[in-house]
Amino acid sequence: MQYYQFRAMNTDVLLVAEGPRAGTAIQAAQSFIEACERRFTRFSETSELAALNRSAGDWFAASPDMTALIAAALDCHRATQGLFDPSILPDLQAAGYTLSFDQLPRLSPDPKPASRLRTASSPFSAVKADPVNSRVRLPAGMQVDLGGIAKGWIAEKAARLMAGFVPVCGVNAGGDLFVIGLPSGQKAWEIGLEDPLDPARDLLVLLVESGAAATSSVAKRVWQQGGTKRHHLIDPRNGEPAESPWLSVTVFAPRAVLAETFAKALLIAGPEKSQSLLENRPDISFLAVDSRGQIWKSPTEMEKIYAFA
Amino acid sequence: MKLYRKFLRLWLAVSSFAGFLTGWVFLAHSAGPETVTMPDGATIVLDLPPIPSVDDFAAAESDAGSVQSFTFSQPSFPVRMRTGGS
Repeated sequence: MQYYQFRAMNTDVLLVAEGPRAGTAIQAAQSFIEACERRFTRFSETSELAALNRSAGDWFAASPDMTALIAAALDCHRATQGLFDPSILPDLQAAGYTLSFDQLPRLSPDPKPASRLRTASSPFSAVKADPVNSRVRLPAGMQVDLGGIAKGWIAEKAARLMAGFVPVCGVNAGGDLFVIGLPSGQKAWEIGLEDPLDPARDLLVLLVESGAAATSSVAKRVWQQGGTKRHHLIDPRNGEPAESPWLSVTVFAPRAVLAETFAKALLIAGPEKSQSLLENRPDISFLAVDSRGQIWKSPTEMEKIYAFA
Repeated sequence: MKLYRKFLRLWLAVSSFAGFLTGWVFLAHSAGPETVTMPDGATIVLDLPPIPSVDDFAAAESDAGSVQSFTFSQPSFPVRMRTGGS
């Protein structure tokens, strides 16, 4: 088993591969991830995402990867009943998240803007993705941020790229992870579930056989705006950082984009709405941690996940 | 002669202190080794050669002679992935 850790997408990325071609697999995955970061970041004026946002109102000749990612975002927007919404970018910026988090002042002197309902004129569902002609159209005035889906999408694509070289591999992009095959002598991958109240320790160790896991947390990417605590998970219903009794939600799903977007949607939804969100979704399981450290489990049977303290 | 001795002592003291300060500043601003931190806190020094472009992978694999040596840290314990948001 070979491991390689590096920094990309403003987070730590861990690549794991087992097999004689593990080195090539890891090099390929790293190059792919770094290329994706350049393409999908909102913090560079030269990225494809920045060009797409500038073209809102017109058809944009997008790369196949951008078209596929926007199409996946539309699917996840529908599946989460609108709670995952990439068009919250203006609200995220109004909350103070205007720079890459590494560069963002943790104590912003800007006053907190008055509460307001979202001002987006069109819903994200009005976005058009045309994979046949590789083009995308955002409604006029819309600005999108792919930060809520891109890491998972990239992690799964990178893992599948590695799987072309090795039978066993995994990609962990800041907690959005995708694993293929089982390490030698192991019955499952061990995944530590970080305690949102004490990030240095694991709350649980989860045994996952395959597929994706992702966590959304309001304890990460936190800053002060005008004396008010802000975080990066925007509730698209009011354009404000979400208020939830849950501090973190970890989702297990067969696809990484589902895990990542449902983690956000469930955290925003909270305990009451989470059940309706997961109706007819036996493929999705979750664990949530509240502010008392209590763990909540999804009603769906978690056949492949075993947790122990 | 007395004045000369005093001057010599002062010069030695000042130049020693200046040398010490220069060394301190130099060391404080020198780059540390690149490291990778594993989830259990163990730290391994990473020594990687330059990475070839993604287009080179297939060709590099078929031509074993041109494959660049790529060294990875291999801990003797299993690395556990973690999830906690980012």
